[in-house]
Amino acid sequence: MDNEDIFIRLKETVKVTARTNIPLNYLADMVTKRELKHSIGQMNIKLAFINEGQTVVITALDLIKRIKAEYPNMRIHLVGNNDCLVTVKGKALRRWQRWLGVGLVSLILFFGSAMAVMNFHTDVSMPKVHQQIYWIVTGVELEHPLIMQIPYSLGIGFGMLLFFNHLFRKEINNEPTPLEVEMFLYQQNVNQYILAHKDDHDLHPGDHRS
Amino acid sequence: MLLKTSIAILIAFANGLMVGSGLVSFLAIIGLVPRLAEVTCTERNLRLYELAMVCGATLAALEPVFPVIFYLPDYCSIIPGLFIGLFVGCLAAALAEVLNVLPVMARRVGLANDIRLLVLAMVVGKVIGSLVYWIVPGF
Repeated sequence: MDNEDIFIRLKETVKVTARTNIPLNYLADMVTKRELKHSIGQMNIKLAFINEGQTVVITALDLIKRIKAEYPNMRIHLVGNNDCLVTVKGKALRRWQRWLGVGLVSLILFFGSAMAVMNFHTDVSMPKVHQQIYWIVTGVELEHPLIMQIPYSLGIGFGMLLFFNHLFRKEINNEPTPLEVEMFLYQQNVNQYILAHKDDHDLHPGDHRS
Repeated sequence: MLLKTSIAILIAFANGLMVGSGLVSFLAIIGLVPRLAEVTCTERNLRLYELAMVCGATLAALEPVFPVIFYLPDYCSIIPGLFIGLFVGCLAAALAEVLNVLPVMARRVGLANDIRLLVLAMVVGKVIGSLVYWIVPGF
């Protein structure tokens, strides 16, 4: 088994259920001889202790150390990522907790947007503008051109749906909505923050890991 | 007199240039047009959309100078109403704070998968809010 090559690419994020031993093939994709791949993939990286919901950073150095311990002459090549974020899954939320959260946020957003749109109308003197447009179209001065304002209000709703692409949904190409993209970016920023502060998340640097 | 007039014209033209470029950069920053083109798969017609925006802004700015009245029946005002509403809806959805607040909120309460429901709550809120604003007297 001397002088074999192994190519390792760490995954970016991994979620594990609460346990302290993580097999290497959870953490990384690797390319090497088949029999080696199996035995190395089964090797564990041991974490001293972890709590639910906690995030631990495992670096490529940890993997190298682990592999070198068993195969000292292995040539290890790293491809890509140097760090892997291991998140320990917490208990799943109960159904009622979930719905409580959904309901609460939905109510906040509902009343918040209702108020925001009223503020907006006052800010930009929308009633004046509507009267003016109604006057241009019909030549009649009317204080409340409701026939125009009700379609306007419905238009706001459809416009938002249009923006989030709920209207022309193409199931095939699976294109994410702007919110999903934003959600992804947010998650990525959080991950980057954790990596930048990984000393705080590295509970047992160096020798405590076997 | 001629000097004064030409200075006034120059200042007004510069003013218009600034306001116009401000409007364009605002629309460009919120990324509304690319998004609409993407949704409708009409990225090829971006030039047309630019033209539409320029014409709309210019005509609206000229309206006080050359007032026009069409004397159409009142139901014709549904068309501008609806399309202004569509635009405001897109604008409201595109505003950065909406796009930034929702992911944080959804993550806090652990419902990243139900974000569609949250959007729906927001949309219904906007429509109801707008209707109340117009229909209920006193606003």
